[in-house]
Amino acid sequence: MVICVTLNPAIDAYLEVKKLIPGSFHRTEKEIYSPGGKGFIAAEILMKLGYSDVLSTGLLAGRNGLAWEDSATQRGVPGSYVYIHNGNTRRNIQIVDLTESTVTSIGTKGPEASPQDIEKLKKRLRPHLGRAEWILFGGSLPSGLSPDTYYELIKYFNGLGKKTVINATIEYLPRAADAIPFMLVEDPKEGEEHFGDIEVHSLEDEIKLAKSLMDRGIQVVSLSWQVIHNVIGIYGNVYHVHLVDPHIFSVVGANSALTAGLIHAIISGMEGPDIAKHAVATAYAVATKLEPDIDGIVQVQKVYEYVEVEKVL
Amino acid sequence: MLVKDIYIRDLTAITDDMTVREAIEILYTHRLPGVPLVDEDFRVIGYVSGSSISDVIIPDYVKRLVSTSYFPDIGILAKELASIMDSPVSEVKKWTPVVEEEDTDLTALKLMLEHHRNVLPVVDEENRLRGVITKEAILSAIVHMIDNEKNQEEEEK
Repeated sequence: MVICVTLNPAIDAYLEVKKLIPGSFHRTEKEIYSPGGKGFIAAEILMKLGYSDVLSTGLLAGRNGLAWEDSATQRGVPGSYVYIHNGNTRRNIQIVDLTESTVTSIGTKGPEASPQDIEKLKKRLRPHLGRAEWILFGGSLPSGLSPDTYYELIKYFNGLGKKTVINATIEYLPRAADAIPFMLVEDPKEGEEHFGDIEVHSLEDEIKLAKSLMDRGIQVVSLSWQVIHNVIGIYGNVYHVHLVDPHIFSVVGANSALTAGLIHAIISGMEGPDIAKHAVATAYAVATKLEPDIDGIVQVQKVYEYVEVEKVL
Repeated sequence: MLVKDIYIRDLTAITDDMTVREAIEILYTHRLPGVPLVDEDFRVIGYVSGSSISDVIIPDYVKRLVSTSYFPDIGILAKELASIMDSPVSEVKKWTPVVEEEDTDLTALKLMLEHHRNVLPVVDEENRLRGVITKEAILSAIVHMIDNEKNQEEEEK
């Protein structure tokens, strides 16, 4: 079983308007709402890849939380969530101006969690731990939680003999890396060129960083730039994986898909370069769609031909 | 139609190490009338609901009265609830029938009618919780089936 934890999920709203004029009323031309959050997306992609023994879990709050859970359950992803009492699950709203082809984003601030909520979550997971081999933590932390939360959770579940995975933006990773997760997947953030105190400006820097993280005991490391270019370290080897002539529609959820692809490949018994190819192909399959979703494993296998893997270390 | 085609993959459950207070919190925050009770291996061992809790805290003499107008005041419930609030949730559990994914919707519906339930836990071959099936889900699936048959007939015409 793979348990996928999203501590700060969001309802993702995609709204298209003819022309966005600040200060005026708009009627949408098209709207899509979906349950978002890196852990949930990874769980759903794992199921689409054919691995159905997943559990999506995390913290929800208020009416947005209920709506999120309803939508997540309708999509067929097995779930069990803990509700927190302060605030409301986030909404991430993307407004697309069809005339100017611009995207305006608004994110609500989300609920305030407490360490007690994390304890409740651990208690909720207890009856699943006998069967769970993997525990994935995806995305940001809600306010109210210590920056050490991922570090502590990874330490706790490592101690229980689980393969822990962290998929988050760079602000969470250096501290999470100190707990030595089994797998670390960076979600790229524009303008970020450092990992803790380490400067990362070039491909060589990324290769060195992947190697140094593996030297510390992390078995699988992925550093990527919008799916097109990826440095993936697997069991001591480093691969540069890039897409040939890519046609990317949206990278939303692509890194969660990459994480799901890595786990799926390892569970399926693939090795080194094949793991890297499968993971990036999964991410690319998602990036060719508007919603972070795939039709199935065949869609992933079809894009293998666009993925080039080169062993660089 | 089979249970696996229509059940809800909601794994919200109460574990047997929880208290009645924690159970009430889960029922309230999830807006659920009841949830399966599971053991440490996620095997279904009962069902806890608002009704199973109120059954325990409403005094027997009140249950025997036909009219609720004899109900004295909320204080009597508060007193009873206070006495069990921090007790193990097993004190308010009820036995529940279960179904498996390969059972039919008819089997599930029959069990619901026989045992006056609106929700049944769906379990695997080892009695581990896989989700729940509701009467509404079965009714909705039947409506879809009727619509599909109608559409097919119209297409054939």
